[in-house]
Amino acid sequence: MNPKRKQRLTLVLFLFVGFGAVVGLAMYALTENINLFYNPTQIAAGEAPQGARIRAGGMVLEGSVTRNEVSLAVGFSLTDYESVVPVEFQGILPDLFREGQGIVALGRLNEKGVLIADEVLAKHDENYMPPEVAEALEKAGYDAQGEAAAAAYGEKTYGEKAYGDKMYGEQSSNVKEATP
Amino acid sequence: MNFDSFNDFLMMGGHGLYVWLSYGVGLLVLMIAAISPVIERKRVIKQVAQQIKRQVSAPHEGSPHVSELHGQRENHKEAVK
Amino acid sequence: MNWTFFHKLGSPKWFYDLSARLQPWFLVTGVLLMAIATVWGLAFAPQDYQQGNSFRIIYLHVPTAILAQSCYMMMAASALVSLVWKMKMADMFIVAAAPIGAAFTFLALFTGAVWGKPTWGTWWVWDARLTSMLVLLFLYFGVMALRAAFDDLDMSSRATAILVIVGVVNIPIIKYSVDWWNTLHQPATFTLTEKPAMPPEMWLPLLVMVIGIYCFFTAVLLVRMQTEILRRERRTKWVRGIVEAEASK
Repeated sequence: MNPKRKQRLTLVLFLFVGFGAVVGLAMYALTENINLFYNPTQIAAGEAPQGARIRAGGMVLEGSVTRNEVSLAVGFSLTDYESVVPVEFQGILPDLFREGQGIVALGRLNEKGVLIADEVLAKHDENYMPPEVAEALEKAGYDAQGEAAAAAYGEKTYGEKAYGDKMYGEQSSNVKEATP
Repeated sequence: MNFDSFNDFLMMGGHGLYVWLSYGVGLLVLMIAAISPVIERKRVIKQVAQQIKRQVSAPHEGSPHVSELHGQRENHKEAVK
Repeated sequence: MNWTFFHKLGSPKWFYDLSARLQPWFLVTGVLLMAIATVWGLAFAPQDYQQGNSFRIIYLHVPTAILAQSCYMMMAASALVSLVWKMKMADMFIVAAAPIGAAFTFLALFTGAVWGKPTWGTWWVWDARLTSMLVLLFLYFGVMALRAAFDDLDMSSRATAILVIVGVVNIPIIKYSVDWWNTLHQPATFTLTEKPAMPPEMWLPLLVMVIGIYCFFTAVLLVRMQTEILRRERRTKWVRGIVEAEASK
């Protein structure tokens, strides 16, 4: 390589590495702002500001959903299988809302530590499967997502690749056993 | 076939609007992406052909009429090099 | 190492002749594969156990998102070649690819929004994945605008190449945003190291669509590069020959 090209190449590399480092550090410093939501453990630890609008993300705790018979009011608890945050919401829930489902609720924490949500978004995982497979899984004693999630929750925080441990390949071998 | 009837296929289990909106806009954007370069190519060919014609009739470089050609100055510079 | 191919690639005439021969094949293959994948994905693939039929948007969303990112990576490689080796064809590639990349990024964002409404309950949320993808769209726009802003070819090719190279830091941010931060967008279904979290009857049409869309991208790119070559090399004899032959048609 001739010296001029070599010089240009070093210059470009310096530019790239320098810029990359600046962006990397800035992203690292802003992690808290980039995170879309607080998980229940953070909220329980008081990391989330009270009175300000925040987002809380976690799983809807099994058996925690209570619906008001006259209004659209609904109450449930969010959990990351370490801490629990109670949530109250009035409005239409997304189709994917169900117990054991990951959701993100937007609202304010009141003084009792209850999140008064005005918006609830459903989160789904990266696993896709036909309904029949999900049904067969359930028959075989696997909750299509809850159990895998619970297993993963022990070590990982919500939002990381939490359900990755049980990939489809393993699941389908279970299906075969279940449907002889 | 995953659907029982054509109507079911159109309804997409209540999500028809979202699915067909996605694919409709997708088709539109891909069509534009495919057709606009062909039109642009024709336009450039026409312009270059006209330029050649002018140069044949009045063979001096950098005449003012040709400046309407996009990217004229850069090419002129190249030609001078 | 044999560099003949690399040097040939640097010759506009050689590239033009080759692309003129290959372009129709890429176009036909691309359109055919995309048509097959669309029918397969929309009508024959099973629905998802949670999302039902809205999941079918994946067959447009994922391939366009893959293309949007890999187009940028190709542009970054070209930008390096253009800056260091001053290869004209590398610069032409950037000019030709940027608008297609922008179109694919727009489609990925649009289909994502339309998919997000029924599944998440919102069209848009400012999480790391969606925001970094929007930044990618603006990077493409930036490259296109920078091209139009300069009159001097040397200056503009250098400026765009630097922008493209600097902007490449956004690509790992897009890819790892779902792992580094908590987002509404779910982590990757397809990774190189693990089995896909999806059965084959669902991912096969997706694979066909990805291959088809790469062919389509190549076909459109070749036409754009041909146009760029004709425009820049119009003072050469061989381009005049082509122009006169096509104009008299």
